[in-house]
Amino acid sequence: MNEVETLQHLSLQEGLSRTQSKAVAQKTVALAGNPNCGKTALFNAITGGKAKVGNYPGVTVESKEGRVRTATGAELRVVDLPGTYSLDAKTPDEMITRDVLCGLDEKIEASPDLVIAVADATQLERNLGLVLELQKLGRPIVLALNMMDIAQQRGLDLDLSVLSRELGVSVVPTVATRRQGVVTLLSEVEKKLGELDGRTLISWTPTTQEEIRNRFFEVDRILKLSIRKNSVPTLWTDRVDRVVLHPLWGSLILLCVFGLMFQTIFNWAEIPKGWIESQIQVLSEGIGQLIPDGPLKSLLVDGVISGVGSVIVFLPQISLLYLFILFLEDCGYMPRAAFLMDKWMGKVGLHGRAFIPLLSSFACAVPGIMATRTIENRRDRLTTILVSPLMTCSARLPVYSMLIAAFIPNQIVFGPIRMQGLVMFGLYFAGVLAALLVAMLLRATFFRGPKPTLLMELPTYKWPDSKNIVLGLLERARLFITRAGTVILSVSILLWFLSSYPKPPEGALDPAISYSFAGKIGQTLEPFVKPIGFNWKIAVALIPSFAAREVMIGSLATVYAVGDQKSGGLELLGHRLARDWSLATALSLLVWYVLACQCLSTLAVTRRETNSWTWPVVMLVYMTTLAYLGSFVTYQLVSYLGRA
Amino acid sequence: MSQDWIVFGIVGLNLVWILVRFYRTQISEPLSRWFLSRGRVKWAMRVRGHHCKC
Repeated sequence: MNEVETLQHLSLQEGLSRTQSKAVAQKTVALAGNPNCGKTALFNAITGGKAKVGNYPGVTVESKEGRVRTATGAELRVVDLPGTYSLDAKTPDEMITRDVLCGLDEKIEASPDLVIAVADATQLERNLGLVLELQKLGRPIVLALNMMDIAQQRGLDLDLSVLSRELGVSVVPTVATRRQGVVTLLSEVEKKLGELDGRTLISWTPTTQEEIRNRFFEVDRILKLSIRKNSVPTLWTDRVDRVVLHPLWGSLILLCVFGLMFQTIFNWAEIPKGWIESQIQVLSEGIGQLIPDGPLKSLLVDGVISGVGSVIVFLPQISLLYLFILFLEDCGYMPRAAFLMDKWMGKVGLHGRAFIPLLSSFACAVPGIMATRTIENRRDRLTTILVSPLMTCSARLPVYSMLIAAFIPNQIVFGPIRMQGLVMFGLYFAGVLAALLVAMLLRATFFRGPKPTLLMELPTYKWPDSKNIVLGLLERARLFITRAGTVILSVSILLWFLSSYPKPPEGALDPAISYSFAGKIGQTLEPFVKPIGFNWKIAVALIPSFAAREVMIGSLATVYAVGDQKSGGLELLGHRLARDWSLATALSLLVWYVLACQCLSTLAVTRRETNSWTWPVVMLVYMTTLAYLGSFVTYQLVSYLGRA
Repeated sequence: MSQDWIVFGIVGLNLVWILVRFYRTQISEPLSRWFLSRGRVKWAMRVRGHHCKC
């Protein structure tokens, strides 16, 4: 491979930084194992990292790197790989694992000096198959028997010395979530690395049917020798699953879980949200008194505080949303939800494996689209990528919350169910419905093919790890605040400038903002957005919200604060909008936000994952058209009903 | 110094920040690929180093 080809290779896999670090690290250790056996939890325990973990297969879709210094002071480079059942890779994420372990892409990722084979101690029959396959590669292996606590609770009594002897590898029991066994594992790794005498050559060839059969027999033989007392299957998981996976009761539970989530997001967040609002108000008034009237005061109060403050108040709601998602992910409910949804997803032609990417898209479409790497068929994968942005991401939450709070009365509908929570649930449901309909259309036209089937491992239920949840929550909150302090702050300053300059001419009668750059841009765009009920201020705010959806709130706050010469940035955005917009306009904007692709990062990741400009363009065009049509119908219908 | 000048300074710095961020997050990676396709390896490496996933 010449220099150019090599670098193209590197660039494709974002490997340049890795090659730089490759030179620094002395030894590389890779973590490999079946999906959902706790590799990333072990990776975090070893390196002190904060990589995302979850109680379902397919959380890790790309390799992650960390470093650790052992007790003797040696530095190890640790690579966490996506889970795989076999080295005969079929999906893009499995290919990453195979290529790294087999040294097929030495230029991208240094092939490991040692492999830590991670196995779920509660599922040894299946997990040991991969360990035997890894042995074929000829690299030194240390077996980490993870989740040993759960296996022992179920009564498993394992003779580790026999297992180690029969497998021919060192075996270390671990409980990654509690960092148990990590020190022993590292010392064993170090010992093995010390025994290395030069590089072991490997030659991987695809496995034959005969080899697979023999491997099963071998696993059986080893387990018969090493298990003193077998574990008792957990009956309570089966009992719970009989209800949770029941077509009727399970679907009702699913609806209740998500219904409760949206009710809670509104009701519980009210007190902290009100507190943040009052603090922002105090800050605004303080700066108003401190700085004399002029453009600097306007920039700080109407631009910065109004723009950033109007977004930051949604931090409690965003945190609650993630608290629910992380809890459901960690306890093992999410794959059950996938199982329940598979019937509906199958009807529209979506692959069952599409559930996890679509679920991840509730947080953000970017990891959602990356998670489609677990889908083998390109046609299924493209369908999932194209509909992922229709799932309601967390960036839409501030927009929904603000509009619902301003326009929908919070009256009780039934029992603890209130109208605002119900509308929020409806918007999320509308996103899911739109995704299913678009998928059906795509499968009936461009991506025709046989109906895919779902084969998914259901993990056992477990009590969520509080550390994981707290870390995940803090990370999400940090990202939200960082975005508010960077992108939203920046856009607010820019929009303030565009809304404030040039100054109106002497004796002008119209509001000053209509003479500004933003006013001119908005008035140019207004004829295009008028049929869907948007005014020029909404049109102006829509442009920067391509950077991130929640920027819309900051942009509207800035434009309205600058435009309102009386109260400036001292009035809450919701109050202004309730006064200025009709219900039809608010609902039309909500529909726009359900359907539109207002996210540059989503388009960029689609480009990267599909390796083509065609699909991001298709995504942008179809979603914008859909959003325009949806908003048009909503606005005209609600306006007509209002008149009637 | 009048408030106008302070404001123009802040807006100017902000504009530079937006452009740099846009380059680092959206432009540098495809630009690096383009350089690679032209065989300009050193330029590709340099531009690729500017990329951030922030």
